[in-house]
This record gives sequence, C-alpha cells and structure tokens, in this order.
Amino acid sequence: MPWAGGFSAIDRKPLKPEVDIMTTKGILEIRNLGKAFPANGRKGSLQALDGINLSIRPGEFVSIVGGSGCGKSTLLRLISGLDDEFQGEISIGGAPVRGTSLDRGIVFQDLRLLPWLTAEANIALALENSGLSKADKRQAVAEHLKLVGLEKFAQAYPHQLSGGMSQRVAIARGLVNRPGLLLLDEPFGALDALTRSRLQAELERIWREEGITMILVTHDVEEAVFLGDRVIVMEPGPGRIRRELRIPLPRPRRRSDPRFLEIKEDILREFTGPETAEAESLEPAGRPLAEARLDWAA
Amino acid sequence: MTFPMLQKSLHKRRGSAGAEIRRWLWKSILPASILAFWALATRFHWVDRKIWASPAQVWQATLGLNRDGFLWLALGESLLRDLAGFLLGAAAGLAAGGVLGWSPWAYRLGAPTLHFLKAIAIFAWIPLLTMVFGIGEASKIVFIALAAFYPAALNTLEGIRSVPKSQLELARAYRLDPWQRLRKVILPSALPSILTGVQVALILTWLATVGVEYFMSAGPSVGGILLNGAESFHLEIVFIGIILLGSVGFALNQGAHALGRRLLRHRPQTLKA
Amino acid sequence: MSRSALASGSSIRFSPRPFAAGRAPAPVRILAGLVLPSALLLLWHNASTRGWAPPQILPAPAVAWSSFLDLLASGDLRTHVQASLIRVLISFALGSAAGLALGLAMGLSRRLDDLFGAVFHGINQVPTLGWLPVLIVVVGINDRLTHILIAQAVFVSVAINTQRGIRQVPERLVEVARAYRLSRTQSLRKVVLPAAVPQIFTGIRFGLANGWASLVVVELLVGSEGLGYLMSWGRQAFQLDLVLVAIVAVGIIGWILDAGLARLEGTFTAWRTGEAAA
Ligand SMILES: Nc1ncnc2c1ncn2[C@@H]1O[C@H](COP(=O)(O)OP(=O)(O)O)[C@@H](O)[C@H]1O
Ligand SMILES: [Mg+2]
Repeated sequence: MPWAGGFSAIDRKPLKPEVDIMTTKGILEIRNLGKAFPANGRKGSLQALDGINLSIRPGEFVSIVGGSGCGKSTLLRLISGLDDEFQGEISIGGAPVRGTSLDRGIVFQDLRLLPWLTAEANIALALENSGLSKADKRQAVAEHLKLVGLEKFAQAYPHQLSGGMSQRVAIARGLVNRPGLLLLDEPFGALDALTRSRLQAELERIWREEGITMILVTHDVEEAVFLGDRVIVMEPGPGRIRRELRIPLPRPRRRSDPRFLEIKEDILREFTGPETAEAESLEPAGRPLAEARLDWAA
Repeated sequence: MTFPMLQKSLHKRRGSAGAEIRRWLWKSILPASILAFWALATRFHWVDRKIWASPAQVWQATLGLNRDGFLWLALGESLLRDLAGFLLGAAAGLAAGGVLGWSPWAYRLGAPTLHFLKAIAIFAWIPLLTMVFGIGEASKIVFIALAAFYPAALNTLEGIRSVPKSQLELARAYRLDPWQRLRKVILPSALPSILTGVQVALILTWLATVGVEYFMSAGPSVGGILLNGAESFHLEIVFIGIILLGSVGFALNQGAHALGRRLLRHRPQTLKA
Repeated sequence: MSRSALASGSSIRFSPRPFAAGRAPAPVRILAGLVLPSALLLLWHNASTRGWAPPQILPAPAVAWSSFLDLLASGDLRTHVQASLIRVLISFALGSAAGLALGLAMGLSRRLDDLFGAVFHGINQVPTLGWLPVLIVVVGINDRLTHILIAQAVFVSVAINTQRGIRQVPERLVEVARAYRLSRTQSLRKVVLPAAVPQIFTGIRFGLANGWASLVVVELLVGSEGLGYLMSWGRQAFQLDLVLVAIVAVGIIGWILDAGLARLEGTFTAWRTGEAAA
C-alpha cells in the first residue's frame, strides 16, 4: 500500500481563480432533455434520452445508476457541453450551457489519457489554462498523484499502467483543477475493491470539503447509495428516469447499516425482481480478478 | 484558417444546399484556373508552343493516335504483361511469405535476406535482368513479378507472424491439429494483411510494367507511348500516356479495394479506400 | 492509384525496427540470417568456377569482390555514392518541407483541403515514373530534372500522410482538448501533432524510400555519375561485377537512410510500446 496515510497532505487551497465561482453557483436545471442519434445504416434515429427532468443544487452529490445503454454517458456529455445538439434545456444558474467550461470537469468512462503524455503530464493537461503559476501547477499535480497513490508512476506512460492505475490518473486529472461541477462516468469501474472504497472515501471528503457539485454515474448500486444525496435510477430505450430517491442517511455512511442495506435492496429490486436482489451490481465489474490483484501489487 | 476538429464532431458538418454549392465552387477554383491558364497560355504563346500543346491539340492527338485502335492495343499489351508478372510474383510471394511466417526457423534463415533485398530499389535490378535474360518478354515479366513478390511475401509473413498469441493459445487449449489451426485461426487472422499485400502488389506491378516498358523497348504499350512522346518532344503524346497510366492505376486501385472490402465484409474495416 | 494507396500508411508496413527477428538471442539470429546469403555465395562461386555460366555473364565472387576493392581504392565508388546521396538529400529536404507544409494546411483547414484537394489528388494518381517524360521535355535532361522528380515523390507522400494523420486524430482525444478548453496552439501541441506523428513519419519514410528508388531510375536513364549510372555503364560494358557492386550499394544506402529515419521516429514516439502501438 504505497499511499497509505498520505491523504491529509492535500490541503484545501484556492486552486481556482475567483472568476469561475460565478458559474459554479446556481442550480443545474435540466428540462425536458432529449437526445437522438442518427441510427446506424437504417433511416430514422435512436432516441438515447427522452424527457429527462432534473434539478441539482450546488454542492449536491447525485448518483445515477442504470444498465448499460440507458444513456448515462450521453447525459454527462450533454451536461459537460461536449455535445450541443439536443432537445430541451440545460442551464446552470439560469444561464444555458454552451460549449465546455473549465468549471465543469468530466472523468470519461473510457479514460482518454493521451498516450504520448506521462501520467504527470496527463494530469497537468487539466491545468493548462487554470492561470496557476508553474510551481503551483507542479505542486497540484504532485498532490493529486499522491492522492491516487501513483507518485511512483509520475513518469510512466499510459501503456505502462494497468487499467486500474490509468483510471486513477483519469480521476486525478478530473479533480486537479477543482471544477465547480464534476461529472464522473463510472470512475471506479476497473479498480480492485480496496482501492475502490479508499477512493470513494477520498471523493466524499473532497466533495464535503470543497463543496463541489458531483454527478456520479455508476453501475454499482452500493456505491451510488454510499455516496449520493440522491440516487437517480435510469431505464433504457429510450433513456428515461425511472425513479429518484433521496438517501436520508447521515454521513459518513456505514455499508452494514440496516437502513443502508434496505435502500440498496430497494433499488436493486428495480432491476432484478425480489428473488435475486442479493446481486450486488447491475453489470459485471468487467475486469478479471487477476488483473485487479496485479494492480494492487503495483 | 478554420480548425474543424476543435469544433463539432465530424458527422455534423453537413450544411445547407447553398453551402454545398459554394463548397463545390470553391473546390473547382484551382482545377478550373489551371485549365484556363493552359488554354490561354498556349493560345497567346506565353509558353513555348514547340513544346506545349493546346488542349485542343491533345484531343486531336488522342484521336490521331487511336486511329487504328492503337491506344487499345497498347493498353491491352501492357495489361497482359502486368497480369502475367503479377500472377507469377504474387503466387511466389504468398508461398514464400507463408513458409517464412509459419516456420520460425525459415524466418530466421530467410527474413534478413528478404528484408535486405527489399531495401534494394526495384529498378536497380533492371541492368542485371537484361544481362541475364536479355531484353525480351521473359526479362520484363520476371521484373514485374519481382515487383509483386516483395509486398505479397512481406505482408503474408507479417500477417501470419502477428496472429495474436492469445488466439494461438486458444487453439492449443482446444487441441486443434495444424490443419485446423491454419484454417480456423491463422488464415482468418492473417487475411487482412495478406490481402493488403496482394493489393499493393497489384498496384506496384502496374508501375513496374510501365517502367520496364520504358527501359526495354516494348512495341505498342503504355510505357512505349510515354517514351516516344518524350523522345520526339511531343508533350501531347506524353499527356496521353500519363492519362492512360493514371486511369489504369486508379481503376486497379479501386478494384483491389472493392475486392478487399468484399472479402473482409464480415469484419470491421481494416482496409481504407 | 499507384501512390494514393501506397502513400497511405495502411498498405506499407514500416516496422519500428527493420531487422528485428524473433526472440532468439542476437548471435543466433545473426548467424541464422547469414546462412542463406552464404549458401547463395557458395552457389555463385560454384556456378562460375565450374563454368555453369559464361564468365562474361557471371563473374566469380572473387572478381566482383576485387572490382569492389578497385572501385573503393580509386575513389570511384565514393564519387558515385556521393553524387547520388547529395541529389537525394537535397530533394528530400525540399520535398518533405513542402509536403509537411501542405499536409498541415490541408489537415487543419477544410477550406484549404477543398481548394487544393482536387489538383493534389489528381497529381497523386500519376506515379513518379509518369512525370519523368514530361520533365525530360520541359526541363531537359539535367540535375534540375532529378531534383524536381525526387522532391515531387517525397512531397506527395509526406503531404498525403500528414493530412491523413491529422484528420485521423481520434475524436475522443480531441474532445479531451475541448473539455479542458485548450487553445488552438495548445491542442495542436498536446493532442493533434503527437497523434499524427506516426503517420507523418510513415509518409516521410515512404517518401525517402520512393525518392531513392526514383533516383536510381533517373540515373539509369540519364546523367554521368551516381550509382544508377554506374549500373547502367556496367551493363553496357558487360561488367556484371560493377552492376552487382552498385546493386548492393543501393540496397545498403537505402537501408541506412530508412534506419536513420526509424531511429528519429523512435525518439518522437518513445511513448509507444515497442511493437504494436495503438
Ligand atoms: N455517438 C453515438 N452515435 C450513435 N449512438 C450512440 C452514440 N453514443 C451513444 N449512442 C447510443 O446511445 C445509447 C446510450 O449510450 P450511453 O449513453 O453510452 O449509455 P450508457 O453510458 O448508459 O451505457 C446507446 O444505445 C448507444 O448505442
Ligand atoms: Mg456509459
């Protein structure tokens, strides 16, 4: 465990220039949002999202769960401003979202590390236009490498990192410029159980201390309940919100808390029916155990 | 300067009908001005009229040259020669590449020599070939075959050698015999690379055909037309040769890619048109 | 045709290490690699000493070797190699610089791509060999012809591959640049150019190989020095030994030129894994 005990080294620092605060604050309002993709080959189109209404207060932590293909990633892309073609409205503090902003960070489901940059340089990419001095940038990058336990791999290229390590780099890149709103697309999918629960705790700490609004997409119901103020359950074809529930449990939450378990089972029943509600997650973790172990050894 | 990639994703850039027409006009500016300049320059003698033919003269020359179907005859001769060399060279290349790819020892023995021979610019063989085989048809076909041989051999070799190890292990786990291994694992996996080799061979042989006709006089042929044009200082004849050269090449290329796409239609696109 | 397919990286494989073979230890590899050339040499030796072929057609290996030593001692070989190398390097520098410029312009700007595209792709349909007679008529038979012809060969290959390399930068990585609001220069430096470098190098390497091959063609036909000329002269004088020496020299120099570029490419793409990189 190379990074045990090193977390508190990251102090709260005003990483963001003050100007960004304006866009951070204000309610994220999604109204009647729809998104259609031109369908492959055939005429017509594929409705990936339909009639999504959602309103998220500043500083809220919202988890989104749902099986694959129900439009979770599409929704995050629209909020991030990477894709401007949709029906309906997305606004923050009353101002419609147009294009990307440094104040809206995203951790991509497919990581998207640049293969020609080292882990360190990949993280530093997020600070290119942050307005920080060189020294501050270097320090922020070093701290976040430490946060994800990769200080020894600062100089490694993505192809030299395991899947789990790459994912940690992507998380560090998402966090490093402290956006007001952070969109996380299955950020812990490829991690072994120990690293995963550590980083969940870290994420919660950063969220609590910095007041960042977070939207976390996950297929792990337990994770959704553990972290979210609210859990949004989505359904496919077309992607809609099936159910929304508040998690009234105090933090820090305990996974063995009976109320926690009850909520979890309640959500799982949405997918599996009552008999099989013991199933922990909606999708397989998608990664062989052997690799996870290797990852841990590193 | 626009920077398209940083704006929207690629498939969204279809504009209105008006924009499409403007774009089409914009595209034709340069070709149109070149044609216009050519016509004007020859009309008003801005260029040496002894060398530069006018567009009309090129057309006249084409008709004149083709009076007895000469162009078709030349084209046929060249294509036939190309085909013979291609079949010979591609077959030899596939066989050699197959052996070198299949057997690690054959690879160790043969691959360095093959790589070195490939590094020799192909036309450098012409003097040697003419000394050994003379300047007859045999010499020409051997040269064309040589042009087909390298790409066919090297791509087959690479294709077989880069069959993923995981797939070979799978074959071992299910105890496939060598013949099954070849049919079910190696060939399907190497096929895209082999086809690429054959395509490149097809294209290179056309180049080699015209080139060899250039070096060894060949009667009516595309290379012969080019050579005659240059020797008699008739640029219009040269242009006719170039158009033949380019259009056959274009057709071969399109044909080879269409064939490749057909053969690989079950797979994600590996061959790009 | 001709070049449009070849100049694309998809069809020609430039291995990162041209002579890499198997996993056997280096001495074994080298020895094994020498077996076939030695066998050929032995065959050649027997063929000439036992009179399987008349000596004016097939001189003994020893004769070829001594011609090589003569050419070396007299400085003739050096003169010819130098002449060829200088020609190819000058044209390569001009052609690749121009090709890089046009390729970048056409890759980065759709308007410029549209403007030049038709003429450029038209020119690209005609292989280098096709331009030779045109240049003979228009420029005459001289060094200028050689330079133009080879520079053109390099230019087309570099321009096409640069343009293609830039166009093929994965959208998902370009989106990273957008998400972090990189400026045009920043995205060019951090995302677009690094992603295009392998393809650009494919173009440069193919261009140089093609230029070197074209040079031999030109020298075979015209000129009074250079390796191609040496060959053509050897053929006319029925001295196969000279032809062989020149062939081997063409091969070795062609290989060295490519290996040099491969090494340069390696320094630019150190981030890739040794063999199959994404
Ligand atoms: N770029 C795209 N083009 C066409 N269809 C897409 C595209 N992106 C996503 N889709 C489709 O939209 C639906 C939702 O996809 P996605 O948002 O990735 O789901 P999730 O993240 O929940 O697994 C899927 O059916 C998917 O095939
Ligand atoms: Mg997704």
